[in-house]
Amino acid sequence: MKKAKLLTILFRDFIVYNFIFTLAGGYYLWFFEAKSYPYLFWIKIIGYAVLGLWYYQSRKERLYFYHNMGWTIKSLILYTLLIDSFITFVFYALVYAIT
Amino acid sequence: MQLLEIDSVNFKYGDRSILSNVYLKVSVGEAVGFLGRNGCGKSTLLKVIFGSLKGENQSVRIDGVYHATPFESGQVMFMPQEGLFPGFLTIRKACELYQADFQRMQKHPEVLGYLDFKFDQLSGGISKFIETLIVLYSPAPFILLDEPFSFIAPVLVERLIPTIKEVAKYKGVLLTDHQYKSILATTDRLYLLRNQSIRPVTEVQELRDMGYIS
Repeated sequence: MKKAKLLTILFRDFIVYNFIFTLAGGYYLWFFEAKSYPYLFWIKIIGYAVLGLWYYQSRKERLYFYHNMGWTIKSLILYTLLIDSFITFVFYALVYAIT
Repeated sequence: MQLLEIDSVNFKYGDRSILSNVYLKVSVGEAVGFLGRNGCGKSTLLKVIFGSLKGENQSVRIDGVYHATPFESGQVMFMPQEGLFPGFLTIRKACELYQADFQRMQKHPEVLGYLDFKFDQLSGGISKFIETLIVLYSPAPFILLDEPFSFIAPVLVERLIPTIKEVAKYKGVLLTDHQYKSILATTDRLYLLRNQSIRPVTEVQELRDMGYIS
């Protein structure tokens, strides 16, 4: 339960990022379908780099909030990737089904 | 008695050595303070003990057990200089997450008045005061406080000092701040971090002799 609450807080930290980059990926998928796959991959890679840089620059102190709960940077990255991948996959699947 | 021990701490930023062969111990039941000039490595030392910074060398042990990343053990909590909790969290939720002792929290009128406020709705000083209380009242046996008296109103400093002393009866508290009088009033033992190493201080005169105060 506590873990679920923490994951929700973590997700709120990168929800804007997730929205922008997932939407950009959805746009490519909508207009270019199968041709967009390499773009989807690079959009996510660039997105993760931007997210990491932004977090490190502006929210570095926030890490202590998670560290106090026993979470390391590795586990934060892992959970971020898992949540983001899941949402991205569901969104892309929806876009794909519609197109 | 639980004991937090750190030794052989060596830390460098680039070529500049910040900490050299530092040894420190804190037992449950005491508040230990350390002072030092700006940039001498006070925050760095706390972060090394906490486990969020890795030095060239360090050994952090809790009850004799070595911890590469002490915060993972759940036995050490850290309150940084800047804010700790996300602004969108309410104080009530933060207390729940950190399992802060609610009975003790409620003894503070500042907490009672703001329980359902989000941190970004509070002033910086009140927010920091409440964050420090949440960390102090968490279940961790060792608490690290980085400048707990800075940026908060004198009346809150006067309330925080007895609170830390009270908590230090059943926890080990390690703290640093530039408000040395508050540190003197709070701690059982005091150190001065100077020239990369830490030395015990028993008299205020020693702080003068070592050039910390004039």
